[in-house]
Amino acid sequence: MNCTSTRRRLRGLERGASADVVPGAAEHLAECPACRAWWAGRARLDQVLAGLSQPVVPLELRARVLDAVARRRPRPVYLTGRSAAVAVAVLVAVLVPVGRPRGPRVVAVAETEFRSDSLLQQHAFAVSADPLADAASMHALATVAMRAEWPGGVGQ
Amino acid sequence: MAEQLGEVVERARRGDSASFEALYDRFEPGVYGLCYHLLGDRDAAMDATQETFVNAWERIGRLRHVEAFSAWLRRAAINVCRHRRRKLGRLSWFSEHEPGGDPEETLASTGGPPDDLARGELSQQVREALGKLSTAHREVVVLHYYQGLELKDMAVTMGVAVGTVKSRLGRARDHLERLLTPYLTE
Repeated sequence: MNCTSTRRRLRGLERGASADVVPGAAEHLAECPACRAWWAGRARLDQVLAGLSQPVVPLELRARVLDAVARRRPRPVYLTGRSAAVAVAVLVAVLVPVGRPRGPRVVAVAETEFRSDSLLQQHAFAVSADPLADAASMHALATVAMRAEWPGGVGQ
Repeated sequence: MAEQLGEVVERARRGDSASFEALYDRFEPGVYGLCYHLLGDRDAAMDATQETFVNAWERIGRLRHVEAFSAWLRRAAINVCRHRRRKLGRLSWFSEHEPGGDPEETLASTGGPPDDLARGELSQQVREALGKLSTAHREVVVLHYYQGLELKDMAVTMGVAVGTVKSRLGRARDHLERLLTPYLTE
């Protein structure tokens, strides 16, 4: 294995992984001082980056943020897709009389579909504007939250 | 601990400002640190931290899983920083208030490399090198090394595939290696 292929394969390793997992790499490193130095530098880069410092939080930040928060109110939670559809269905059930001739009922359903589409479109806009509102994303984030910790001793 | 956090988040969801204040106290260092490393500027990080928490307060009612709060907040902070980076461009990275010249401005992380790496010239060089990365590459570096996230968690947080995260991280490390070569040799 030459220098180029050795480095290319070692680059693909996870942080902190041993060169032994790449067949032939350890042998090449043993006989090539340049690649050995490169590999050591790579490990040192990981070490340096892992030491990204926790900046000191400015003392004035807390009061500033909490003051800004106090001037706002939580936004009301609007109906989302499924609940909006249920609400529309309830409205239809209440507003559309049972036993009416088939003709007018068709018109009523058409109107309902139109209104439902409109609500769903509103929901789609809301989700695209705020990806945090997306249920699938929230499930995924919940999974992350259970595994990931915040630096600086804070978190779960 | 997780249950306690969940209870606090739930109370905040119902509009209890005192509970939200408790959440702020718990997550302030992490959010500020994340914003600081993504934006590279103390004042910008303060603004981004404020915007993140204000947004979180306004939208916490939409949070469906209280256990997801920390990840939700992290993603909110990243979105705020992305937006601010787009507005600011790359005109400025570290301001004159930055910690490079003042050892009191930074704290060495626990369990990291030797103390001498956390301060001084190398620390300054690392911050400057981070500033030369693209937004996407800086995000993966900060999430992986500062926040300590695994690849799959980074993928969820950034909204991209794991393979994308892996390739971005590899390229970011290559770029940093080139920028920091003189400082990486023993």
